[in-house]
Amino acid sequence: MLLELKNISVAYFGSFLFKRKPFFALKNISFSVNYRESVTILGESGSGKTTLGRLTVRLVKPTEGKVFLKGRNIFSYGKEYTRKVSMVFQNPREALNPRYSVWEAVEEPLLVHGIKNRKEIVEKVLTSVDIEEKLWFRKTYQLSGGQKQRVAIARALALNPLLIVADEPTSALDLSVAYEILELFKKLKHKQSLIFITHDVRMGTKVGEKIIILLGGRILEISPVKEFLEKPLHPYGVFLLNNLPVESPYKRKGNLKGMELETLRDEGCPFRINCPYNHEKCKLFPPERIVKVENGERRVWCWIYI
Amino acid sequence: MKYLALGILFTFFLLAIFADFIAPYPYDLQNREAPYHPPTRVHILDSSGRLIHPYVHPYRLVNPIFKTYKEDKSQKCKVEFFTQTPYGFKLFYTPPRCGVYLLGTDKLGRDVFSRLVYGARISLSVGLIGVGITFLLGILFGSLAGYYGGAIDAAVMRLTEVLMSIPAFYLMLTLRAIFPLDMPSVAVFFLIIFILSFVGWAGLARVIRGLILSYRSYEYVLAAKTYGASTFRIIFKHILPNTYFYLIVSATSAIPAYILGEASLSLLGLGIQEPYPSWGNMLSEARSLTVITFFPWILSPGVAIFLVVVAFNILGDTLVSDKEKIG
Ligand SMILES: Nc1ncnc2c1ncn2[C@@H]1O[C@H](COP(=O)(O)OP(=O)(O)OP(=O)(O)O)[C@@H](O)[C@H]1O
Ligand SMILES: [Mg+2]
Repeated sequence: MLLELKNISVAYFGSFLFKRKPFFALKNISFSVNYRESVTILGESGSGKTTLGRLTVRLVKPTEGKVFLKGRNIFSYGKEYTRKVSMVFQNPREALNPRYSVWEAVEEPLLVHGIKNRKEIVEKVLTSVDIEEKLWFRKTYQLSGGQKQRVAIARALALNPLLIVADEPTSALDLSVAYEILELFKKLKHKQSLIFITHDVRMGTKVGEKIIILLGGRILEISPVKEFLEKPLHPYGVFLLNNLPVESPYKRKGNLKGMELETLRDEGCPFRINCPYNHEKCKLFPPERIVKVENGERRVWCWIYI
Repeated sequence: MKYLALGILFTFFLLAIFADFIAPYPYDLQNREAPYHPPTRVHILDSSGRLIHPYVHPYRLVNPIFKTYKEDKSQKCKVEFFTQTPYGFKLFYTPPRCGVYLLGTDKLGRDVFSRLVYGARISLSVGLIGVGITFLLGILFGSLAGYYGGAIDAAVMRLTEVLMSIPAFYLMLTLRAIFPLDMPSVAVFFLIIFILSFVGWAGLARVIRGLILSYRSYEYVLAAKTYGASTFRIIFKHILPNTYFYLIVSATSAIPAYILGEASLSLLGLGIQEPYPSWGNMLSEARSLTVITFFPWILSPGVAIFLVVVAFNILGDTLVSDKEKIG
């Protein structure tokens, strides 16, 4: 096991002088990522995806619980942790310093870690993300969104990490470019572990081997992608698959009642107001239920299975 | 406008740097025979209106009480250029029997032009060094507060609020009062810079903090953290470069405040002490109406302050509007 999150909660408290009631962006989350495994984290806006991603690169500290890399608490590592896990951000327009050239942007992580054969490595990773040589010495602000994202991915690859965390790497791009980036991730994914964060069911199910369904700061289901696509266990998963974007909004089967508004964040199941099986019990979040399948296991948090 | 402003500043800085060469007399040379001597007229045309080598006539004191002078047409001295004089190698000079006082003399018969040129050194360097130190302090505290946030931020911000809530001029006077009045000039010079910087850094620190706060959450800054860049590197390579433009503009508009600050302290006799000239203490002689009415050239350091301050402000403004045009 490479990365393991145990009972993680993350709360935001407001500023130093103006403390406010804690807001739990993530609540009691546990899951793990194996060596060279690709995990998709699927969740809609505000479900806590970015918080989760930033947690794994130590930009956010857990309020409760611990994160382990190779069995060791990630906060007990020094600078060497930054070589092992790297992140690709959501917004390519902001992900690169506009004053840097492509080369400088990719070289900086190597420079920071005092790595010698930088030229070789930079050339290698830039080629692996299909950035042509003529772009290498351009300033990053002169690149298109898709090119920027490729450079950001190259930068994440430069230190040859054990794990790459990509936070919605395609959501700010045109659809065709987004699919190119998606292909790139599919190509790169077996070289190291990958956490691919997305709000798009179709993209998410194309990259990961395992999918984690996140809503309102809680995990509702963890399944191998194949099984999830055949038969989601959680009613929210069913809802997601039934509501895949279709050609015309009139052809949608489900409705999004209340979903655009803030999701419930209380002691109960965050999906319950939209859930066809809503029950008194759902006011409390259910315990985990493990379902064995051929190649592994599925985990679901729903009272139906208890 | 921009070039005019640049030209003015360039001229004054040249004067300050080459003061020893440009000023024809030492700043403390007194000519007891010529108090309140009016500006010497330099003749460059002969009687038929042709351009000739410049010459001056000596002036004779006709009324020692009202200090009125008359040109003595019977004698004339050629103005010599690039010449060796008793006071060193000078740009221009006349033999001692005629004086060349381009901006007249003061009460003690000292050449106002020479003092203005030497005073530029003090007044301009107070501005530059003062702004330099202010910026160091402002950037340091602003970056710390903005980058680390939390308790450090709160502490620095409250401190700046206290500093900013005291009117700057009273704060300057209070700070000056802590130190003895009779100090060596060099000490006074640095003391003034210290006082001005101490009063000035707060506003800058707040702005820097604001800028850093807004860039701190930029994804490339976060990314730099995730690949292990040091705080120092992040601040200096990823965050501060975004503030350079603002820094340059605010430096150009802050320098006048320092020049004026030095002038106000010196005007009150709390700054640079005689015989050393600064634009502020030269102006302190011009405090009486009779002096201004009868010997208006005493006001020339005021004109110099005005020109420099306006030039710096114009420069700041044009920088901003140029930036807006580029986008
Ligand atoms: N610094 C913060 N302070 C307070 N609340 C925050 C902070 N960052 C995030 N939140 C809140 O935590 C919740 C989860 O935020 P997060 O950014 O992780 O969501 P997300 O799933 O990435 O959403 P999106 O798809 O819009 O990027 C949101 O409700 C958000 O308002
Ligand atoms: Mg997000």
